Amino acid sequence: MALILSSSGSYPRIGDSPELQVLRRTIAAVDRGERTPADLSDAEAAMTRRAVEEQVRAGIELVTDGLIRWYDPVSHLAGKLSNTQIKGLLRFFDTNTYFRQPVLTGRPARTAPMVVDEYLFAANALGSMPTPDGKAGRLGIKPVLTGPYTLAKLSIAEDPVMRPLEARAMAFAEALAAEVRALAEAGAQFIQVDEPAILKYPQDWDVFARALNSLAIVRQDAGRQGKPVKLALCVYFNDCVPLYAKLSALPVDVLRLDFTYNPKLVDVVSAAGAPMPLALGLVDGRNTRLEDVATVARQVEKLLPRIAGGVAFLSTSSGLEYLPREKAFAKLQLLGKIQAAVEGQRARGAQQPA
Amino acid sequence: MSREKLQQLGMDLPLFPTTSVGSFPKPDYLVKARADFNKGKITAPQLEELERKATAFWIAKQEELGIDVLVDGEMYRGDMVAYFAERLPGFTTSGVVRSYGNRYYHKPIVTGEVRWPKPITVDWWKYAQSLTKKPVKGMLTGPYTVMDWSFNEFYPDRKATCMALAAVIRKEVEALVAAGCKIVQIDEPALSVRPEELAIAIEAMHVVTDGLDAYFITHACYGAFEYIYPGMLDMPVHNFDLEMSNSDLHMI
Repeated sequence: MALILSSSGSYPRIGDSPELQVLRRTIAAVDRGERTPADLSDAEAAMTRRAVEEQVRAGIELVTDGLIRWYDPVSHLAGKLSNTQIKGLLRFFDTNTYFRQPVLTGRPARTAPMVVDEYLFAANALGSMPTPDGKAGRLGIKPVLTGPYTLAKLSIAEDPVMRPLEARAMAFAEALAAEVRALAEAGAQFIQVDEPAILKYPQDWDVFARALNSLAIVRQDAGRQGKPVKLALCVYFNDCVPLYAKLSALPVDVLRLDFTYNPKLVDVVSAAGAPMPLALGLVDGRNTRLEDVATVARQVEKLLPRIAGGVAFLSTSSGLEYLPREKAFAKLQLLGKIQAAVEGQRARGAQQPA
Repeated sequence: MSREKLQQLGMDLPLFPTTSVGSFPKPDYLVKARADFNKGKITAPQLEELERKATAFWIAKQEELGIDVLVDGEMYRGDMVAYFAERLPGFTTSGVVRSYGNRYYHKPIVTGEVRWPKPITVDWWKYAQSLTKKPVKGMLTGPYTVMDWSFNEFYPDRKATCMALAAVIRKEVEALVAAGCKIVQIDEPALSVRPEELAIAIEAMHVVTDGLDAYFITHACYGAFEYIYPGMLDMPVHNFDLEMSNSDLHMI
């Protein structure tokens, strides 16, 4: 059973030293009219390269671009669609961060690629970095999409046709399905789809599942056309236990769970098993306290035998943009220590006489 | 507002008294002074003199506008949690984290037992109240919000952190009431983010307010109050101040 270290999505776009504040300073300068959008793009590129480099240096094997260019997880995608205005700030789930709410004036439609260029930039950045010892052939990069149901749930509509949740969800699903197709064409072999809203609003399950299925169908089509791509569904910011059975039956290739809301989730997953690979969000992406390696390693050891598919992923419970940079890096390094502890224990177990 | 409680406290306010949430914009000279202070270019007394000047401006402005219950405008504060965390033993400060857009702040970390060393807001309340005959609110951030907006590396869980903070904040409320403050606002903008923890927030507010003779208000903003209503009415306060404009008034 392979245990792969995986990023959960976002990474801090700032740090305390001056060179790590380039994006913040550039945005402020653009707002004052002193710098141009091209300068902003350069600053975003610089911080994206750093985010990729730090994930690799910390030992992560499946990285992201850190979502450095994303104003927030909702408006970054919705704002690129037609018939969509971006308006007031609302709190993003139970975090102390905010997103700008999309307001639909008609059916949102994809008129151009949404994150393909960002993915290609980050993939190129990864490809141009030296590979750390022991990681040859193991590094990969995945684009991240906020899922259609979460986009729909966090949007409102002025257009009466888009007021029903299902109408919005299926419209976003159509747009994101096209993006999945484009990402697969661009070479993405792994796409992360974040759907945190379903844990908070389980009553919307049918709408969520129908919207997700649109992406799953495109994933299958891409595979048949020689562009295999895996879909990883990520849920977080609430208790996964109530929905675990339904989540684990979804047509996705990997399921990432947030283990920080309910300590019983380890036992629930261990008892029920997982019919597909899991990404284990056992390390808290939103608190600076570093977990005890041995404790988390024991949880991983308990779960691994129950996970189908021959592979599992170890990640933080959520993206890391909620942490100061040095702590985010430390959390990623912690994943490596846990992986080493698990592999060490497995090696010792293999040496034990029968 | 609970008029009976206000009358009991000797306050005669209009039928629909006006107030504001708490903070006002800092004038440019004060923004510069704060930056200069951080760089060591001016001293703390020099900064405080300008903070007092700005406070006096806003007290006068509120009187000019006919506001009934005043605030000091928080000219001496930055972030509503960091301000208290920086003055309470048990906290350290993290590196920068993002709030949204291009806004960043240093999020506090609970790294040890939280303690109340001395009054934090009383002197500023006394100064603001000395400038007007109208009541000035004492302004604090509530224990649930301080807990939720801080990292925790010391207490075993969120509830333990919150209750420890409640005990500390109670001491600050006691000091305000002893100084003569009759209206105390305890801001809890994090109140609605985890509905399953509403009971913790209510229990903590009881620790903060029970038995104290003051008119208590709690303020919450950017909130999905529909998920905690009517349970939130169990908060032991006399008045809720709820922000609704960010949701296009859908909350009404």
